[in-house]
Amino acid sequence: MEDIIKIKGITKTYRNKRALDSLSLNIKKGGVIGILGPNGSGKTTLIKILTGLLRPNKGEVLIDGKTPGTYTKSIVSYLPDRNFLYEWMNIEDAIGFFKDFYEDFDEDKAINLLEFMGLNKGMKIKELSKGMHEKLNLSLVLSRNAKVYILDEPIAGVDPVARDQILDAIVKNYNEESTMIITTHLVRDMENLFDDVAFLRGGTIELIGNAETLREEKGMQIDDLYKEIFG
Amino acid sequence: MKKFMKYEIKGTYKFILGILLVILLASSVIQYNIFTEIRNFEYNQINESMNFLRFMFVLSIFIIFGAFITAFFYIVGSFKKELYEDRGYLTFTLPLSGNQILGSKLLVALMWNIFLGISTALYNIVLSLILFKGEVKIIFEEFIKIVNIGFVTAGITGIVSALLTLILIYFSISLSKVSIRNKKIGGMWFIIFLIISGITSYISSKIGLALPYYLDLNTFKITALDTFPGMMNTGMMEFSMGMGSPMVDGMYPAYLNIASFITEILFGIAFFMGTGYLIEERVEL
Repeated sequence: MEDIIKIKGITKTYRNKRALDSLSLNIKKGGVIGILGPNGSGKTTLIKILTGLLRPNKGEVLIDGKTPGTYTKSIVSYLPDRNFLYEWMNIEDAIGFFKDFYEDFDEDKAINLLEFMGLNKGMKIKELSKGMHEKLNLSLVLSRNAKVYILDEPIAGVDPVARDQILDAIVKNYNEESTMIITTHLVRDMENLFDDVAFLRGGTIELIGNAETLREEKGMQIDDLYKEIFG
Repeated sequence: MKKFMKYEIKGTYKFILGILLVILLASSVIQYNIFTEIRNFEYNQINESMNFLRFMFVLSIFIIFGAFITAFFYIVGSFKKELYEDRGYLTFTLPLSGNQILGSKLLVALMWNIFLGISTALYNIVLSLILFKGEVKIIFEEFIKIVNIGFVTAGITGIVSALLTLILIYFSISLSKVSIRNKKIGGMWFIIFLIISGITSYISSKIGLALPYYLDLNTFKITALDTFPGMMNTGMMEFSMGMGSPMVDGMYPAYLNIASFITEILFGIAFFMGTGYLIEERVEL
């Protein structure tokens, strides 16, 4: 299958710290890939490079054949690991904002997702709890019919009920023609979502493969494999 | 770009309207004060409440000045927030170019400045109509005397100068973010702004002095002036003569040094492109 993302030998350094070290990775069209690794392994740096928020010092990144820029931002739906919506907004403003800027945004889908998440349009962004923020952001991001979804730690710091709702929403709204990249260190909760997994350590890929094949080969769950690699 | 401007306006209008309310209240105090002073002078009445009114008059002037400064820094701060706060994760992942983001922010900032200026002027004219009734005709006649074409063109070039200053501020903020990475050092952008501003003013004044051709803002005729009419030829004056800003003198029409004005416009375009490049290609969150 055709690769939607091609990463060739990227290196990213912050002052003296090397966050990514000649990392290469091709991600095929369709499917969910888990980028797994502990804090500081380079997951967020990699995601930020894919979304155009950071630029590599060396190497090349192509998304749908283009370097990160205005075009790739129109086809990538990104969930950062923080609340990125403008504080003055209420949920209705946020829906309007996504509708105005992303041609692939499906408003009906957003309304259904918000209902599923127990959020209503009149709620103000700055009055939402951490879990509500996460649910709102995910609802907006999943309501786009994007070619690529990038979710950075989608369940970090949320309570178990919200966690289940978020995972349900991802499973129900995932389009098989799209590619979804999820970074996490909470492997046990998310491993059933992944078609492929890549283990990241010190800015390089330690192990990559099909999740099912790895389970069979290693005779253990991905969560156990994660503990074996990083434990 | 229009869409981004729409959200810029939505995100800032409450604050700007709050500022406007403060300015209008302070303007009312000033006008009422002038009205009372004139009335008391006419009737030769002086009482103790006059001291309080005078105090309010001075305070109101400070409040108006402070409100404009606050609005200005709020507008500057809204650009800074994109680079230093989490909202940048939304702004800089929108399918917009750096120039589109910058252009929208600049236009909205300029729009608010003009809105505040015009609203304040209109309110004061209307209020003086109400308070001074008969005398307003005299005020208007005096006002019309000084409002000529030169006054209007000087106003337009003043707006251009404000826009160029704002571009330079945005450039300084972006450069400060890029040069010190993610470290937020308070006021660093301001030091960069002062340095660049000093350099560009020096260059444009030197060019202006080398090419002393001025546009008469009243007649739109070009004149070559070695010394500025009616003014002492001091070093400071020479410096200001070379600047691209218009010079208005009560006795003389307004003049604009063509070469330095063009130089400043070119600097503005360069800093606009530079800021667009920095936020699209260099700024990292």
